Amino acid sequence: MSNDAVRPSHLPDFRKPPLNEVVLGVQFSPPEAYQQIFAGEVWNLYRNDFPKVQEQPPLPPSFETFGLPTKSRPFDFVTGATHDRFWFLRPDGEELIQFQQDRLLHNWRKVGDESNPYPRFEVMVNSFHRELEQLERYMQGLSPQALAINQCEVSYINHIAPLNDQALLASEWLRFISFFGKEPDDFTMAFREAIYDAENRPIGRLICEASVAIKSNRQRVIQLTLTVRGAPQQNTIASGLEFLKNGRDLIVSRFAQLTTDEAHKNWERIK
Amino acid sequence: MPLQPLRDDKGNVIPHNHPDILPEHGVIRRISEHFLVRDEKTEGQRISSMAFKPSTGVNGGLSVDLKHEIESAGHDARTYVTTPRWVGSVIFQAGPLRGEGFMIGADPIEASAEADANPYHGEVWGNFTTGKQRRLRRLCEWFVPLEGVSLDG
Amino acid sequence: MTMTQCVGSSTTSATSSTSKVVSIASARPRTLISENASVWNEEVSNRLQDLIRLNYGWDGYNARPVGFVNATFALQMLNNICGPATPAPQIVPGVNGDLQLEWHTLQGDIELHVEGPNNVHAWRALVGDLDGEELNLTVDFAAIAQWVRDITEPPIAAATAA
Repeated sequence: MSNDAVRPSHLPDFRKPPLNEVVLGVQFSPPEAYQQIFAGEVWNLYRNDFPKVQEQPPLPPSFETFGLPTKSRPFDFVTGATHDRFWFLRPDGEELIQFQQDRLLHNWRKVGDESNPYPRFEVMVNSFHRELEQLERYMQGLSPQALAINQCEVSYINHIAPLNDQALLASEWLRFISFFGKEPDDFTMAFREAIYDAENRPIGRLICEASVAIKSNRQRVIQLTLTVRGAPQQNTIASGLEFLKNGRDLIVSRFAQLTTDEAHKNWERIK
Repeated sequence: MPLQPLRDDKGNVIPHNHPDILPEHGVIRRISEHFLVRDEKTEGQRISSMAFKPSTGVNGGLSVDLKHEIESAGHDARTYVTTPRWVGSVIFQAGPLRGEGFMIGADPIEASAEADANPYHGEVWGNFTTGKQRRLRRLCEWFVPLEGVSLDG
Repeated sequence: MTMTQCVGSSTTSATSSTSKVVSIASARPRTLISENASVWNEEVSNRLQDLIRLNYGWDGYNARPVGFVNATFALQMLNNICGPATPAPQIVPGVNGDLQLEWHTLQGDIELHVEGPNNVHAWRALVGDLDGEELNLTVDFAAIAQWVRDITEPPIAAATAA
């Protein structure tokens, strides 16, 4: 498979971004004839590179829809048998594939002493493309069908912290927060922005979440998460990947807009 | 012997107009209670348009029972389509259905883990536009009527 | 750009490193939008619960139960269409795991056929209009919100008549 994803030259870039985790994911209609008993066969598709496995609670279906303003409501339907979410992990745990009957995701994350470098989006999306095609071929063996992708999601999770023992002041890092000299002990906030296609129709949202958090080494950080989620133009793998690429572009641009010039100096902005 | 359908080389039933289904033959559509809706305009219940939407998938159509085939096998048609308990049913004549551009053929069902056999099962195939689905409601009459449920709407 | 407190849904649920950071326990987000109980929500949820548990062949032929994903999408869509006082739609299962949301009032009829996520065929007819109008929709249901108001809210003239 050719490495055809190329980083757009106009995107901001940093030598030392505060990036801690990146998630690429798609949601699809549960394939015909698939049952949870086959999850082991799905793991076998990736097992050479992802030999470890863990089980997690499933993610509920998620859709970005538009109309009257609405608060997210939990859906608590009970259907009977549920399908676990499986994590297939690399030996070092740096990358993992998440699978359930209606989702496939690929995560990269900082691990250990957090010195592992980010492989870059282009490498991740190419891997994810292969993984999706492998999954689709497997499902076609159960019943003639293509993966019907109905939602795509790309998330960038950042851990922002001073390089030395200086106090963690939100306004020094984030343009959209100011406590006017009286820094609180902690904060949590989120906002959402609709995303539109070329015909000005809403297709998804950019969601920004920021909060103070404590890492396992007791360091206080600001966790800044930017997510783009929405429906691809068509329910194909190609269209899903196109959504993820556009989502990444939006996230990187917005990240640079939402963070301060001082922060950019810390992260050694090169574009 | 129940009607045999037209099949492809893999044995799947393909849409066809079976020549032994004559214009005057009855085509029964069972109406589950889940298909009933209330209408403030009539202050009563009527049949949702969903009762006349076809199945999707390869060669999907509208499931029906072929009255002439049921009776030729010696069964009472009204008893057959309410056994086990199916709440009601409507009946079309094959001729007017074909006049709307639909094909009517045989699609016998064999017994499986999920369903009993139905050798008199048929399908109505065609272009089920929104307008045609609404006209279907006007083309039929009650076969096993549901009290208080209108066919109008 | 809309600014809304995002409560109750986590965008980080697909992340894998949440065990490495601990959100400050007291930093629970407060909703800024008043929480009105919806007239329709419980009735719709109960009906959907029943429909996703229908037996195979519930129509007398080979119908499947309503799909869990389709039910979830339908409920999400209703959140974008219905106000707190909107009467609950009637929900009719299809044979393919699909479903249809219907209102039939004195002012007219609306049918929203959820064939699958991002795939909704909408039809409405006001009283006296036999053909009605149709829309094929994916994720934007703003137009349908107005349709529902048109047939479920009393006409202004009737409301102000002496």
